[in-house]
Amino acid sequence: MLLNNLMEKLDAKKDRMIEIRRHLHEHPELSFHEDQTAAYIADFYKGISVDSVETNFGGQRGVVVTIKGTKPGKTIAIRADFDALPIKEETGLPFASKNEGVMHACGHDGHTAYMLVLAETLAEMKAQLKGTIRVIHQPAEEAPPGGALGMIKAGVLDGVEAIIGIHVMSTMQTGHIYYRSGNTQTGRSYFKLRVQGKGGHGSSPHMANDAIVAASSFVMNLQTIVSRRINPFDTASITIGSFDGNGTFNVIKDAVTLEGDVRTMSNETRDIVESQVRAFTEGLEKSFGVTTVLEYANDYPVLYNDPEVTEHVHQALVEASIPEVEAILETAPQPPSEDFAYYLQQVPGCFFYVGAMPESGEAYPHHHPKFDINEKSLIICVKAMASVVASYCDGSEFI
Amino acid sequence: MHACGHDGHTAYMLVLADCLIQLKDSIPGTIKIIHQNGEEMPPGGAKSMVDSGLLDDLDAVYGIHLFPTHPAGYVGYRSGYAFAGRTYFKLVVQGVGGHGSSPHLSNDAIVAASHFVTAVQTVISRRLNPFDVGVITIGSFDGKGSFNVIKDSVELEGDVRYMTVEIQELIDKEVHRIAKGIEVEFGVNCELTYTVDYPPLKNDPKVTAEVVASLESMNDPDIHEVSEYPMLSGSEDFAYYLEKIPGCFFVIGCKPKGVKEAYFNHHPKFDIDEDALLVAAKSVAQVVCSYYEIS
Repeated sequence: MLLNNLMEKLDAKKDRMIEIRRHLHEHPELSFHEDQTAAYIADFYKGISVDSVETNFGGQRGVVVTIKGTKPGKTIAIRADFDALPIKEETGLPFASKNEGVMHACGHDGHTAYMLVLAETLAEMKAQLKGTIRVIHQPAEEAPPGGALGMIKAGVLDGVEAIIGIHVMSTMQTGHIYYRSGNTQTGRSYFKLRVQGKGGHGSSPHMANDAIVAASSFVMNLQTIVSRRINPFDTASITIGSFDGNGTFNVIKDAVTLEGDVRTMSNETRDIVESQVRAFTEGLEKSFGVTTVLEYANDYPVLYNDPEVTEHVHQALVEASIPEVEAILETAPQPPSEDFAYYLQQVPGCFFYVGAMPESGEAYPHHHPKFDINEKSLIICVKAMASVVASYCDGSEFI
Repeated sequence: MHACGHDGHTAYMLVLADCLIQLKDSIPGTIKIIHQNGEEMPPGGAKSMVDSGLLDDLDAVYGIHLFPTHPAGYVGYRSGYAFAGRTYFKLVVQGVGGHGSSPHLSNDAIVAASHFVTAVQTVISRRLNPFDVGVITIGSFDGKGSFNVIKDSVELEGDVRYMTVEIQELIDKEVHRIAKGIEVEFGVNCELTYTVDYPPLKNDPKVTAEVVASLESMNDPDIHEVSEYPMLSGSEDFAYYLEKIPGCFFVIGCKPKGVKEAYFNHHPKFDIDEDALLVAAKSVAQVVCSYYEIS
């Protein structure tokens, strides 16, 4: 009953939801700097009969909205992130980023758009709701230490019995929903290595100590950690995403800073990678006579979906028979890391995926300058999340 | 700042030219004085001088450079290759950007470019005759990005020095081959801009021998030493003149007095002992006179 009403209302808001997504896409902001986006979200709730809107939650621009049903019930949290990435957009879309060098290249614009429309609609239907729904608009998912930790510290999960989140996926077929129980997304480590050699003139290599050569060798050596040290049945990925060695062509570079990213599916693998990166760093000092400073931090944990909640979500999605959804499938583990994992360390929950492959079939991966989503995925996101919320909070049987 | 002694070069040359004009009647031939601009900046002023046909009716060319490695009174020479040739290159490695956790969906330009830097080391260590001289430096590796985003493209800039045209050609060929190899190995696109700039400076052995004999026969209290100068890894566009006609480019010591270790050319504190100017003028005058067999 609740769900049917919800679906009707959501269908009517489809175009507006796309407009919101395009507005956000045009105005992306970097993690921990999302002032305008947070203000836009807060503004959206003006005049909407939610029970509370808490802004600058945890002192980090989070917006937390509480919607209380008229009847008692469970407290659940639903979360959407709203930050963008330091990427120069190359999509050529009419609503491409107006903020040079910053881009919504991970679909968080879509997450926020569907979540706003869902929250508004739930607020309109409080009479049919039981329990409490906490809507978490979370900043800074993309940049360590991540926005989730600050939200948790500030108490966003207090009293929450289950938490649910969605990620749109450009690489998954639109019309498909994917879920997985247990360990689902990788944990992540971050490292920064400064390689200090000695500068000099390009024509006199013997008087200098070339930091670019040492750092390049380090990059190549790292490849052998995954290929030779990790059990082939385990998962690890190491990326040097930044090699900062900009200089002058005829001057031998004195120092280079590398920044890297590690993904693993278990703590054991995470520790092997760390000890190997440390060993190669020591080896670099010995073999090239450079000095090094290594910062190594384990950040987002492995994302663990609670089996019980995941089965509940799966059933809710199946029973909802969303017309735009062609299939609900189990997925293999997903390589990206997600700070949603922190919430799942505190309370049981489920993070699942909505296919958003562009109509053309040409899917650019997340974080690519040409990344785009099929906007048809937004109605699927909102209906899927509505179905899950309804499965916990349908109070209409009390009427 | 005149941090390379070109002010001194011009001063001695103006004075020498003045003297030669006064002695015109006793000179059986034509002397062209070349006051050349743009030596410090590729493509260099010499190239356009040569291209203008300035050297077409000349039989020999001479030049000197002030270096503070030796005191005033020192003259250094080197027969054959004396100064290194230079090449600038830029390599744009274009991969496919993507998320750090999904290497299989992207193509990491930093890994490919790092491999290029590592592979290029083997040109000097494994391709070059151990008795030959060549240097390859990647002075710039522009691959700054986000730690968790696989870098789509990287720009490298490099500098090559060599003492002969043969070595230049060998390195040129090898660097191009490695860039092509990176394309095959890593599936990236490589765009290599390879600009051969000042050639190695090669003093004509016969002309140099004549210059040395002439300088050694001088009996001048201002000139204390004439000896062989080591090869220099710096580059000089006088090399273009020497590609065209035989000649000799030699060194005049100008180390300031009372200084233990002089600041070398291009240093903000570079300076010369002005006594070297007379040595320069007298040496070149001696070479000119010897050429015309005037005593």
